[in-house]
Amino acid sequence: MLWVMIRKECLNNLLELRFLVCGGLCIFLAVVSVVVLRADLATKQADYHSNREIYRTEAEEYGGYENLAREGIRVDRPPQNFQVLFYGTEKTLDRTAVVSRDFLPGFEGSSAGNPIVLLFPAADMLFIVGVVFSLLAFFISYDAVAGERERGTLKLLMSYPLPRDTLILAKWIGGYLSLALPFLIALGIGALLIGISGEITFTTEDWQAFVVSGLVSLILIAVMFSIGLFISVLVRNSSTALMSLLAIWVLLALIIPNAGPYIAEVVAPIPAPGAVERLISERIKEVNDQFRQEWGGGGRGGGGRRGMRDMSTEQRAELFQQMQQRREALRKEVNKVTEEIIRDYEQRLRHQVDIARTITRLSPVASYAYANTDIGETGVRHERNLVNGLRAYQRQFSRYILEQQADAVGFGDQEDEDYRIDDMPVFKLRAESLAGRLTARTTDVLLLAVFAVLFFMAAFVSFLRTDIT
Amino acid sequence: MMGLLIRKEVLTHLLSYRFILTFSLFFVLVVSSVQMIALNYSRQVENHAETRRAQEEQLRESGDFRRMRWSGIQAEKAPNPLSIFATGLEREMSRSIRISNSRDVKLGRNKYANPLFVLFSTPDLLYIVNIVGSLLALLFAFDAICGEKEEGTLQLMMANSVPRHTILLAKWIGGYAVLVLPFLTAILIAVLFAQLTTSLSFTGAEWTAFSMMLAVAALYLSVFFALGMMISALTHSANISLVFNFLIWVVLVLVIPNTAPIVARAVSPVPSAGVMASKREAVQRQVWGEMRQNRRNQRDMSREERRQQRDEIRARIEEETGKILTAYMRKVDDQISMSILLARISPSSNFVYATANIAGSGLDNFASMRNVIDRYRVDFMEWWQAESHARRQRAESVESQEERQALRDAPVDLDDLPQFTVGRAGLDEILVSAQTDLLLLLLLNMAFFMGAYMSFLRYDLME
Repeated sequence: MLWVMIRKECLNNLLELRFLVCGGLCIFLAVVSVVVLRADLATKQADYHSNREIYRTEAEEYGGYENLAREGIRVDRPPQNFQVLFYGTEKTLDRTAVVSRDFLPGFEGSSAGNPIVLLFPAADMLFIVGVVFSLLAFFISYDAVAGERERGTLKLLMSYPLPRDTLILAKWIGGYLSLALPFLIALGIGALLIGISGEITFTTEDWQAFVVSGLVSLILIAVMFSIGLFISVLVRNSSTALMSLLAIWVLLALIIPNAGPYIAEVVAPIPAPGAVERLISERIKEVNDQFRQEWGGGGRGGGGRRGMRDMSTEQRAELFQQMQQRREALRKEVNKVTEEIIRDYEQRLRHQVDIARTITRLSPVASYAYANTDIGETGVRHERNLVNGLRAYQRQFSRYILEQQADAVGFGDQEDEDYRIDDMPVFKLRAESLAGRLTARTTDVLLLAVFAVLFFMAAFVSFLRTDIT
Repeated sequence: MMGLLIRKEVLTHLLSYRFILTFSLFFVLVVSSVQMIALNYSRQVENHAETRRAQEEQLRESGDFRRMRWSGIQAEKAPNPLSIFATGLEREMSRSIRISNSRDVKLGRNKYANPLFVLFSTPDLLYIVNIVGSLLALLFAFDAICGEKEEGTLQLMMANSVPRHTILLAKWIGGYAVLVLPFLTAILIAVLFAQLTTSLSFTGAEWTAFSMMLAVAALYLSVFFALGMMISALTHSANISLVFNFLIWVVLVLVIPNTAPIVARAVSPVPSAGVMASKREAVQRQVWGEMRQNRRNQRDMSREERRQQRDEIRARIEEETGKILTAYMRKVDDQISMSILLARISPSSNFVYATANIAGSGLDNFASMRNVIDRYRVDFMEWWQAESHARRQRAESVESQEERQALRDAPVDLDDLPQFTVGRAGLDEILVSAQTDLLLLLLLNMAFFMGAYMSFLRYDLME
């Protein structure tokens, strides 16, 4: 019996114009978005590799380790494979970082960038599933019960020896299957497009992440469909159901996820980024002044250099070494102070992000966005990973410079004769394992599952108790 | 007759569940969005004031005048009150930047900023009108004609002596009024509330710009209302009309505006900004290197000659890096105009471009921000040169070495220092920059209304 009913539901949906149009639209959207973002990724990858060469040549031209240490080497943000599906934090102007010995690095934008992408939300899979498919789920479900009630077919159905639980279960399964179908087709075409592309190579782990993110999307669709079914049972009239669902959709898909960061900023305020920069520069100045006082305000010119003429070679070398040590100590102190401030700030920022997350988890679409951007490594977690990676690279870089300088002879500011940077460490981002990423987002995935079960139960129970006549 | 019909339309809408829902949704969304972002704006204003205060204090105390040529000066745009309605590129433009004679200026989000703001778009008024408003406009209109036909009331109405165009016009006026008036009320209440509870306040010019933003929003909503009417007059069942409305809405509002820039990036590629910066630095290094070579050959130059040579070289570097930058910016601008052109089919992108430009957070403002920065750099460097010259002259008349040093490193006089201000464009400039968008919105409006009119005149009531 259940089987017949499911078949009826599926056929009902599949043969309807609204389903054909909307399902076709979703597939079309998904294909367009993957094609476009794939081309975008290919350009970014090509840029990334050629830029790396350019930056390296640039570093070779510095001609001395001291110059290299001071000027630093540029590092571009490595393109993420998953931006094809979840654009996430790729939507930024901040693409290049300068890693030098002395400053904490971070990716920054240039005034010369093209800001037009920032004006609109990216049309990626995340958006298509979270916004368009959610709406489609509501479109399919809004009259599943209310419509049959209006047309009178519900009464007819119930006059058969058909238990109510079978009916609602069949409605859920049938409706959900006909929703999952276009999604799976879209996902399949997406996978194909990624697979046949010569420029993008997905590793096995990437494919695993792909499958996992697909499953998470399926859970989200189940949640939205269940909400739709619940409202359809609750409300007598299908146009009322549609209106209510549209309002719910606006809140869940469009407003709550986006409002989160703003609410969190009011609830858990943190100092503005500019204030942090100001604090850092103030502290650095203090440290500088302190050092200057300790060293008698001689500076690097003044009496010292004039006195140097009378010195013997050993004395000069000693003085040079002292200066070197002093500079080193100053640098260390500055770095320590900066790091303290930044660590403190970042802790508070993390707290704020957590609050924003907790608030927005009210909406399954937000949970979904957090889960899938992190699974695809284009989310907040990746951003943190990127910054940490950059700092780790800076440490490698400084150590490298230190060793090279120890090997080289002569005064630091001059050009080194044996300046060669073939063995300079390169920036490599260590990808987090899929298991690690998933563990971090367990709450979100679990929450989605709970929402799905909860709303299904709500629909189920209220249908059992509904008055059909 | 017309008045009667309009009254009927208004009443039907007002008494419907749809209206109550729409109105409350608009009200809640608009008020909470404006309030939330206004609170954020208040904090920005405080931060900005604090930054300025700290900077002035530092300048007053410090004896770093000579180093300022290299270390430059920190500049930050004052927060723009209108950006609470249209955030646009405000976050990219308002970070504090260091302006000195050498460095490449960085615009973009601060590297310490909250990454969630990148992940999600701001739910500001622009966003609400653009996405929710257009959807609601379609919902108000989708069954205007085909719905009445299904119910049979259209036939009844036509049995009276009413011309078709009167009916259509009455439907348009009644429905549109019911859609727009609650929307405008919600916005006005939100703005008044925000003015009372936060530090938000507008000048006269800002009120003008704000009312222009409202007018553009009303125009935008009417485009979608007319579109909905047209589809309603082309179809014969409310269900089918709804499906097509939804389909077109998704394409116009969700797909075209955000796919166009990425397509444009693939069609007219631009090398990344990092490469451009490294090219400019390479030029600098090369030119200075040449000078160092020359110096070795001409050891007997006087101090004055050396200074002159240095200035010449600076000018040369300025010119050559300027050339690289101009060539690069031309490519970027091509790319931007390409994506604007591609996106122009959609009223949604026209609306967003126009509104953001009016609010002062749009693409034009981003581009002019670059010019403002360049101009400020020139001003600042000129000021520094002049001041440095004056100080040198003053120092020459003093005998003691220490006093001379003190004179040259004396704190800066803040009144002389050029101020970094980003002015708001005048009404005429805004109109010029937004004219294409506004014109397109008007045209679409007329086209859709004409479409509705034509198809309603030929509408088959009996089918």
